[in-house]
Amino acid sequence: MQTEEGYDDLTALFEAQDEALQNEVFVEQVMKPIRRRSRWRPRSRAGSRS
Amino acid sequence: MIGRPVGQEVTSDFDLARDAASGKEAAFETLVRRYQGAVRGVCRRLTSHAAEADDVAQAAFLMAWRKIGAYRGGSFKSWICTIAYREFLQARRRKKIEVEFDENTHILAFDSSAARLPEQLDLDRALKTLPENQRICVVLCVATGMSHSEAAAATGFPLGTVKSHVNRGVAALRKQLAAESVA
Repeated sequence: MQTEEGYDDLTALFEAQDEALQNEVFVEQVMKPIRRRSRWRPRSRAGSRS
Repeated sequence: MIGRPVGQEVTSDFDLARDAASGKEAAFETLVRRYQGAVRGVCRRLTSHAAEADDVAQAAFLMAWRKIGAYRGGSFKSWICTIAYREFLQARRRKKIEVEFDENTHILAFDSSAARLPEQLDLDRALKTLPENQRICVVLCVATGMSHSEAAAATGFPLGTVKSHVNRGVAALRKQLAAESVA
């Protein structure tokens, strides 16, 4: 966060907008093809912890 | 995070990404739920068209699912918003091609009436008046909280250019918001 630039107030306004966009329908739209299409399964692991 | 029961452990983005990379869809779904607002917000501010923005946001999450193994930690929000920015550029290129082949298509037919909350209007209106590269830098740095360096890496703009765009963009936003609050 670029707090040193002094735009936290604007960031808060944008984040409030983002919060209002939370929508389960969108989550379902994203997840539907992921659940259905095995070819989109990731091939490697994130990070190094196992 | 709103609505979280008191005392409940929150799984870190890194752990969720690691689980998603091993094929656990539920872990990725949690990341989608956690960052959908930020990603959809970025896409709306870049495209100014709600339906098109959600298409780009969905494409960004699908790309993130495919590339989740490449996430190495750090801000997941910056990582996913960088993907969203790249998806926006691709969508815009495709749109330009379509426009070239269809003379009847209205270029950048933004729909300002699309499902928006009243309190969004002043900020959105002010944002739309910024020159495109300035708007991109403001969206990435101010709206998503990316560092200037992260935004420079995402856009390919020199670091000094990003800083300049952000400073000028923020000043312009403040000026317009102040003017609208007086009017």
